[in-house]
Amino acid sequence: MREGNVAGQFRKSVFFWATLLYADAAGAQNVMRRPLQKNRKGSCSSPVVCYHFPFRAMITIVDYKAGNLTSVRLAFEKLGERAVVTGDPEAVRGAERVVFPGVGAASSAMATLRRTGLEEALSEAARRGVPFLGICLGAQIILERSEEDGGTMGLGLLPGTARRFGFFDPRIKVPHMGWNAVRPCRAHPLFAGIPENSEFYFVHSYYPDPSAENLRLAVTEYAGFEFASAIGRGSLAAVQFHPEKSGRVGLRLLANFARWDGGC
Amino acid sequence: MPQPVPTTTRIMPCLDMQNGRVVKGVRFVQIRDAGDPVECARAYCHAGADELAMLDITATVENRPTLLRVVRDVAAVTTIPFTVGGGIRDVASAAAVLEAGAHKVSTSSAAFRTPHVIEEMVREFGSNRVTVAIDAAQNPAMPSGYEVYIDGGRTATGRDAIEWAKEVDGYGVSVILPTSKSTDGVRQGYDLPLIRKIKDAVAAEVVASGGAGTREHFLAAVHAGATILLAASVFHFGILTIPDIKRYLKQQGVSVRG
Repeated sequence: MREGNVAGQFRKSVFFWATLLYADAAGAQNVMRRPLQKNRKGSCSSPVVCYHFPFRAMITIVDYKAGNLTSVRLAFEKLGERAVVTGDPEAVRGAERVVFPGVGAASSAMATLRRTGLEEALSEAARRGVPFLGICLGAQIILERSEEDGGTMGLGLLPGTARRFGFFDPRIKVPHMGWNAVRPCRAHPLFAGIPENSEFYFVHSYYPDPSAENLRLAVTEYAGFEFASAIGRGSLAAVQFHPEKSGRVGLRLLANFARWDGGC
Repeated sequence: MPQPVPTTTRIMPCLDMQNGRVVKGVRFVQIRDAGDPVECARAYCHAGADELAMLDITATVENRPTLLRVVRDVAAVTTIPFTVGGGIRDVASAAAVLEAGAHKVSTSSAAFRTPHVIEEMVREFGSNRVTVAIDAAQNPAMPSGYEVYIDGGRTATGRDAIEWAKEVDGYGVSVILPTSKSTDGVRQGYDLPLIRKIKDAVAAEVVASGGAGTREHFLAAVHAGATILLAASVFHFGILTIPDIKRYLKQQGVSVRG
């Protein structure tokens, strides 16, 4: 009986390592074979990892001294996910799943990213097609540029500009702060199981304005003005609101991200 | 009545903390026990609270830092914006509280004694993460009729509350939290003139705090210009529930979440 178990475990272990190797090979081949843009149409690049692999990938939360990341890490911990906060470019470069949060000013954030080598590491992680989630300032500086601080160059992971709310009515408050409804533009794995017009928590004065309509994943209306509250393409997604502070629906979005294979 | 602001009105339960327990006083004294902070936080998140506040009410007078262990424990179960106050005296102590999992910090006595701390915090953390709390009590000798108190309501400062609110607003904080000593814990309604006077004087959002007892009190505070409605004892002692208040506010045409 005991011997049988040992044999069984040995078989399992061989299967385990074989799976790992196969998954790696499949992933690597796919990444090398296909250009990024065409890479993600409905299917995952590596079915073994996505559907059968028993462990979920570690979530790498990028720390670049733009806001405290404790709440993002705690949110993933509430979901039972493994998350690590790091500012090490090498760790980001090799990450399996990237969360790119941030609050504060675009120019100082970009300066830090350049100085620390995180700019390239983030671009490389995005290029490899790992699931990538920008949050708040992260959703603005993944664009090509921001209007903040007299114009700032962004990471350019998605085409578009972060613009400042331009309301003429002084009674309309900027920053837009509080709970507001988010309406997905199309079905996307990030919003799976989240009812349309669910409210999320926002704090921002700038909003992402991607240069193509199909980069808008969800929209929100503030004082009669509609802006993109979620943007993305392929394995890259970013939300202007704070899912880590948005109660149940926010946690659902983060759980969706943790399970997302990067396809859509 | 001021024009409606196009943001949703938020309900903010507040945990006043002493020795690691939630407590609630009447007019800042007569403190009684109201439960375990983690259980309260969990229950309020579940009930649909829009923000959560936690004030370490004796940290300043006991001259000690905020209880980080409690902040950490509460943050671990809180899924909504979470403001922590009490014992925050400089950028370093605010950073420790944020690092422990708070989303925003609130400062009162230290802000009053050393206003440059407000500026430093705004610069360091951004205006959206800094709240200044102003404890006030009626005093006819003041131009506005309200005087600022510090040290958990123990020390009168001789400063006019509206003047101080204007100065605070000038530092760019996003939220001002005035609590009326006269109405706190009495459940006879918020101090509406105080809310109105501060709202008229500042650009920041104003929190209604101190005195909520009925659903109508919440509505009156919205009409007085508050966009965040803070309450403690009505929630701790089960007198009102958050869904009830939201249902009522919605019926009355106030935009609320959920």
